[in-house]
Amino acid sequence: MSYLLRSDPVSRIHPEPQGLDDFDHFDLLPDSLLLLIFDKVADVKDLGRFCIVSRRFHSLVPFVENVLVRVDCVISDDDSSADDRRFSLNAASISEAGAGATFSALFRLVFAPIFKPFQALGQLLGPKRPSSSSFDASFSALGGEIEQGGVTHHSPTQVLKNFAEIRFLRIELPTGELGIEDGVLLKWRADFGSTLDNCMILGASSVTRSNSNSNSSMNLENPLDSSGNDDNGNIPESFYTNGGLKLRVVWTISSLIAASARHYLLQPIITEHKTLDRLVLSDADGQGVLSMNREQLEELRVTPLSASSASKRTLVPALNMRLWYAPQLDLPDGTVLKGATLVAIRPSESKKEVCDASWLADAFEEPFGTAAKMLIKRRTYCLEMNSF
Amino acid sequence: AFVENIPEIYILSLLFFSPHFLYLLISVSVLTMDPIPGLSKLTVSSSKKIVLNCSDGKSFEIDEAVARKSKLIADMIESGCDGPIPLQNVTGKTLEKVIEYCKRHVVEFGPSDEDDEEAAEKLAIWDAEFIKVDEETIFHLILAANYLNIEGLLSLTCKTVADYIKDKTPEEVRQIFGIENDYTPEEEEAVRKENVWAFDPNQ
Repeated sequence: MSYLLRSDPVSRIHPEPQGLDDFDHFDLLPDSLLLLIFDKVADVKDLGRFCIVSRRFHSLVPFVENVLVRVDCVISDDDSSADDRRFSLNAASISEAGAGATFSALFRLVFAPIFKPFQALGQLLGPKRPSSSSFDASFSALGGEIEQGGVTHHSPTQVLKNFAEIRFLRIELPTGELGIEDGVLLKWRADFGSTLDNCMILGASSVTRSNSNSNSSMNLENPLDSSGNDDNGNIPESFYTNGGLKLRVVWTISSLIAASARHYLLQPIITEHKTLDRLVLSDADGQGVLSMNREQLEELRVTPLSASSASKRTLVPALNMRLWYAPQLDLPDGTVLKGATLVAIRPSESKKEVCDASWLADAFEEPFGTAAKMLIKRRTYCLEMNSF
Repeated sequence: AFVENIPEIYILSLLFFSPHFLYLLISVSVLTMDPIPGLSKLTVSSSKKIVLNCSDGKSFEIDEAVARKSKLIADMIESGCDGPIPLQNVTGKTLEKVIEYCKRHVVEFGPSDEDDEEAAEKLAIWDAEFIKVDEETIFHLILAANYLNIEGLLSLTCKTVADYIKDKTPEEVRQIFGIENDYTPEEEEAVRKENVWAFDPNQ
């Protein structure tokens, strides 16, 4: 692709720039450096606008390697009423299940009426709108473009089709899928190949942040022993009876459903962009992060995912879970977590190495990374879950 | 006869090695005393000066440690380049700015972990002030950082330009940087349609 230095000011179409000299500074830069700048811009909307600036910009945008897609709104495929779009996950709304219920039965009983994940992440991108109106309508059609209230929406697949060489793709949803009450903490991090590889969930029934420094010096000495509780890391008996365990199960299942739904919807993007090294699908609330590295992406291209029969999400395999619990956790920065729970999940048939320590360091941002490290020192409880 | 010679050899070798031994002794004591953090590092490594010659005839003499921030120069030093290094692609004005950056970024992290975060923050603030330059200088800095292969400076300058242009409309970008619109109105309309999702409806 040849490029000529334009020095003839007569041929300019636009008005003279104010105060700056006429020289096009971008002319100084070779294409590789311009691409470096575009990589740092990353946001796909900004890059789309750059296509209009000049032919040179337009020809370079498809080669950007680092792309960020900020999704404006999510349109659900449900035909349920708009009011019930997101459901809260508090213990009060869980119906009582029989003592002998397996987790899958618990799921069917408890879960179906409570939580419906977004079915159609396919209709995602549109012009910026106020968030209150983003859950107004529901559609049943899945396609490249959807008309809603006179505004056309575009899917990420469509938006990304101009980009030929993406290496690092980040997609950011406007909000997390799980509706949780204020003060409740729920964060998940999942790695997927063609199926779930690894998932960590950190939850707490209440989070209180304090800025007082006196707390922190005290807590550094006694990270595990708080409010005179049982210090050997055991779960108190009350946890089983007051709905605590049920709540954690609901958290776990809903996080896994959200993660597997995201994974399912990424498949067309992954098939199309073969140069991907890394893919991260997160949300602006910081609730859930799904990530896939190069090996995992290859695995998905080679072994297609198994879809769950009922809904548009990947099948979650049979799982081994490890759970740690602390009735109260006082973090060094003053944050207090009550009912803090960490769950580490991997498939029962996973042949991959267990490398929790390194994964844990990066999984949650501070102060929750510290919380996870503190929790993992406590007693480990093991659970199993059927595939769903 | 062999046994008798040993004391002489011993004395000779001691004499031969003693200047080095003394130097070692002094360096070791400086290192262990460590009155000022980082000083020991400087006294050992900054003894050599490198001369850089720019395209417009200016000359700069800097410490080797500072010069080594540029991978291009570091490679030249490794392959035995001793005399002044000619840099035809960089003017004096730009190189001065580049050297300022390299000097500040040589001693990057303190000796202990607690200082790391604070030091990194201070460095970021310094970087933000450093990069407040006019448009022409930034582009020259990008080119210089690329030519000299200074990763941190290249990243900083490109990010600055990126942040500056990312929220601008195409017209603004053209206006600010003096870029010519080489589309015909029909072509521009077609590209706009292709990327309609990137535009707000009221623009």
